[in-house]
Amino acid sequence: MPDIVGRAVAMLDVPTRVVVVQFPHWSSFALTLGRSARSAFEPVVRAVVAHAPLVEVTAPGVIVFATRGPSRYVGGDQPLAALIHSSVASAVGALFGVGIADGRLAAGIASHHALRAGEPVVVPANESSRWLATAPVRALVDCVEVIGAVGAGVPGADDVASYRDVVSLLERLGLYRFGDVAALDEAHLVARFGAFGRDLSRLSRGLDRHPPLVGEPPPDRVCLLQFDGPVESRDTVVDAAEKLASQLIDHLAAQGMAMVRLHVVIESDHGERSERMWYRSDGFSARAVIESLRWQLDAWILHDAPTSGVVMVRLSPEQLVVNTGRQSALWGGERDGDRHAQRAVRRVADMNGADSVTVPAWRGDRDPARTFQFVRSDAVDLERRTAGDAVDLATGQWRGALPSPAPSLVFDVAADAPQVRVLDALGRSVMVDARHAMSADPVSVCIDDDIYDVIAWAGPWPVEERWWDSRRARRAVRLQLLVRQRDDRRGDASPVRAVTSRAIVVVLERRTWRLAALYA
Amino acid sequence: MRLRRLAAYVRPSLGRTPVRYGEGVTTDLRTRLGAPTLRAPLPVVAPLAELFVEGGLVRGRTVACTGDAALSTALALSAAATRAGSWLAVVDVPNLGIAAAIEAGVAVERIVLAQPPRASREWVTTVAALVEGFDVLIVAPPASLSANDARRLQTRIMARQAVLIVVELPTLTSAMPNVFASDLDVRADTVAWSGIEQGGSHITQRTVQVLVEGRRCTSPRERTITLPCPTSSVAPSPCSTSPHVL
Repeated sequence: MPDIVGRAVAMLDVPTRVVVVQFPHWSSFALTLGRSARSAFEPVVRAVVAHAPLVEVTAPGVIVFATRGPSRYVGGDQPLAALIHSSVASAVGALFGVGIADGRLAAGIASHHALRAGEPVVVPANESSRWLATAPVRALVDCVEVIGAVGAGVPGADDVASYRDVVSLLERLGLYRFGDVAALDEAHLVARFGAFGRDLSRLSRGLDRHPPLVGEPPPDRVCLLQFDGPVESRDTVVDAAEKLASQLIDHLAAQGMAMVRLHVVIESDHGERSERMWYRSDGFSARAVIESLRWQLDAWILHDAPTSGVVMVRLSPEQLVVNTGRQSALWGGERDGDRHAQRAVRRVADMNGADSVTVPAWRGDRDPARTFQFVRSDAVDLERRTAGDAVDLATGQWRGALPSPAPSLVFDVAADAPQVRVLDALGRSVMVDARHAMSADPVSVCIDDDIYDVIAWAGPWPVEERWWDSRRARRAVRLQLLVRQRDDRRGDASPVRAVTSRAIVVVLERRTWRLAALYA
Repeated sequence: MRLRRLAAYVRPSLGRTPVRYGEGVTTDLRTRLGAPTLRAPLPVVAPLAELFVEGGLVRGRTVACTGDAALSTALALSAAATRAGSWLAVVDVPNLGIAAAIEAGVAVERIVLAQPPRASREWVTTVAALVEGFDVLIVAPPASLSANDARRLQTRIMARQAVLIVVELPTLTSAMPNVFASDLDVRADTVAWSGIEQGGSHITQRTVQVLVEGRRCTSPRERTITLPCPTSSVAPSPCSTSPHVL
């Protein structure tokens, strides 16, 4: 009897054949378009959905879907890959790769090969584990979005960083290829890596991370939300679904299960449908469900413009895993305060538009105003935010950035920084020659018709960027100045405290001085 | 009649002696009136904590920060609270240097920046909505803000037991009129910059004189501190040159 069960599990434990479409640098590409990573990704999703109705958008920049239906329809994996490749290429001009293989990791690595080759890579059926055995373990780092975060087993908040740790440890142990890892006993990996060791062993053997659940599926898992009449307001739909989602998650948690894949269907009164698959390797929280639903609703409303209100929302868990307690580790940090803040942010975003509420995220630059970018609050999950999302300055500071202490007000020199005049003792504008030597010492600064005397100064500090590219090259010079407003009204008995003295940073670029930063 | 009796009860506490929050007369009165119990003050980093009688920022209060180091001081004041799990909303400071906030010790994952409309009513409505979820708010009020709306916001701050820090942003010359009836006034003026000289080195540290006074402060307190505060993540580098005293 146990043998039969064992064989049944083994038969079920076969990875699904999937297509992975991956854009490695999506968020920076979206930035060049001046849009959020999510909304910029929508045209790509639509290009893929034209050929495969049910896709899973794991993160902006990554699409995963099962080949079974679509590939039979177009006549094989090769034609499907070519079709997806050409339609995505016509939708967006960013670098991407299409890979097909058995299992998410193999397909993810295949998509990276495809990126370099410039054409889709298809690993023949049932050969993925052999193909994977020769792939370097280093490739794990490229597939973070596809296979999901390391989880609670390995320390480190940042997903990519913790994969780097794993890879560097494996390499120091002399395990360079997935084949080497697969040859090891799972117990040894678990002993070394904790809970992730088991996943690592499964991944290296070409299996999916989560073993399939066996047992009778309870019938009451699908959550159906039906409205009496068509609902036009997005928030009403989301609010109604919020309660349902937390019930669903609680229900699953009570049975010791977590949901890693979720199928969301939205239907309008006129029968228009939007369906999408969502994946979270660490299991969905109620908030994550709602976040996915909002994303899907927004995309649907914006691009399909349904002709009537929503009458039905269906949330059905597609893949359940045993809740290993990983959730409590990840979500245990969540406090009431985080939830309240998230709710307040959402309300304000609904009042004034999502652009009006932003959170800082590290970008890295020499310009103080560009070191951090401000991301729309609806594009990030505030509850899951960690300090890792904004790199600490000690490790993240660029060469040529302003020295510490950092100015508390910064102005974007390329955009809205006010123009100033930096003058020498004779009232001529101070200039800097090609060897970064100043024409004279700065003596006074004019800002908005006000004259300030320079008490002390530091610099000039040259900023040379992209000198190898004549079109995007940038040459500038920075000066840190200590200034005090010139007192023209000598008659005023002004107290000593009223004398405004300030430290500022000015930048000379294209023969114009601008105010770049202010120590307020 | 009842009111008069209560008033008689309160009067002894209004003398010169500072009232300790969370004990004595005030607590007693609050329990009688059924008011929400006072929550502990928000923590403040060590060198600044000594400026407050209560050892931290008392919830429900409005603090006005002025002087040329107003913004840096406001960030330093909110740093310890964000580390303890409170969220910080920075309203209408679009050019905030996040690096400075991190140096001040603010937990960057709990900063949210908001840019509400400048019209008085909309501005207050937005900030009032933020108060629901944030313990500390650093705001630079728009010039259009009316005293009425400011008062309404302060009432909300008191009810939600948050702390409102109003900063005066430098326009380099003029000071903005403050329509808030602040409970505490924090004046921070830089008295010395270290490290900078004619052409060499760069600013390594600033020495700031901070004065706390106001209607909720029995006696003004003053202290000279260095920014960024030594307790924060970035330790100030040792400085060989003599400070440039203004």
